[in-house]
Amino acid sequence: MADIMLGQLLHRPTIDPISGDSPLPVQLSGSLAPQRKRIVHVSTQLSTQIDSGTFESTYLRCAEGAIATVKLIYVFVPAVTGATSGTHMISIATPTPVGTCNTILEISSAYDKTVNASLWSISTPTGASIQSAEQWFAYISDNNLIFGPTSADQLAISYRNNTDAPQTGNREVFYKAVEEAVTW
Amino acid sequence: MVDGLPQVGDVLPEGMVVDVQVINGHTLITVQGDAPPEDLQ
Repeated sequence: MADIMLGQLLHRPTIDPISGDSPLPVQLSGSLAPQRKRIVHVSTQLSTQIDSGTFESTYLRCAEGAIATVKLIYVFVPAVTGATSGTHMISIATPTPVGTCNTILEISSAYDKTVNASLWSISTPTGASIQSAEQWFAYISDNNLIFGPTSADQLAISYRNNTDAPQTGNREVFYKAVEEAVTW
Repeated sequence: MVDGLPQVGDVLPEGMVVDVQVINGHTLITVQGDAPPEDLQ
């Protein structure tokens, strides 16, 4: 019965069931959607003053409808000019479903030293985070440093000035990412 | 506009927005405050 109804719906000239002797010609049309990927370079300097005891966070969001995987990253903060004590630090964190961020990397330096993270070296690791340059390299190499276009999946790069002077030097953020269009 | 893009001067839970840049389609939103995002509840 189902075969007959299908034949009628398809305007077959016969009500014979579909079989080797009574085939149903079928033609598919369309094409494969191209895979949309691109390489994105982002390089910027942040110049606003960061007072002693305060934070600055930069949130990275990729293009709408895409996800980005960081392949290369460089974050640099100069020594704090005029400071005589304390430390300063950088952290890289990602949001979690419960709303708080999860720290991936947290590094610090003395007031008179730079703080930086690249693929090949990082300042002194602190806190519950990646503990070595090797772990950091492996984390990125395994394509774990990813982010999206919204506040729920952005990546946060934070700077804390725990020295006794304001940070007036320029902070540098550079990364290269592979961005892929996604649909659901 | 992606996810209600903040503007300079907006006050977010993380602090005040001091800079918004769009570079090659990526948006960088910089805020200053008293606590890092991983400390916020």
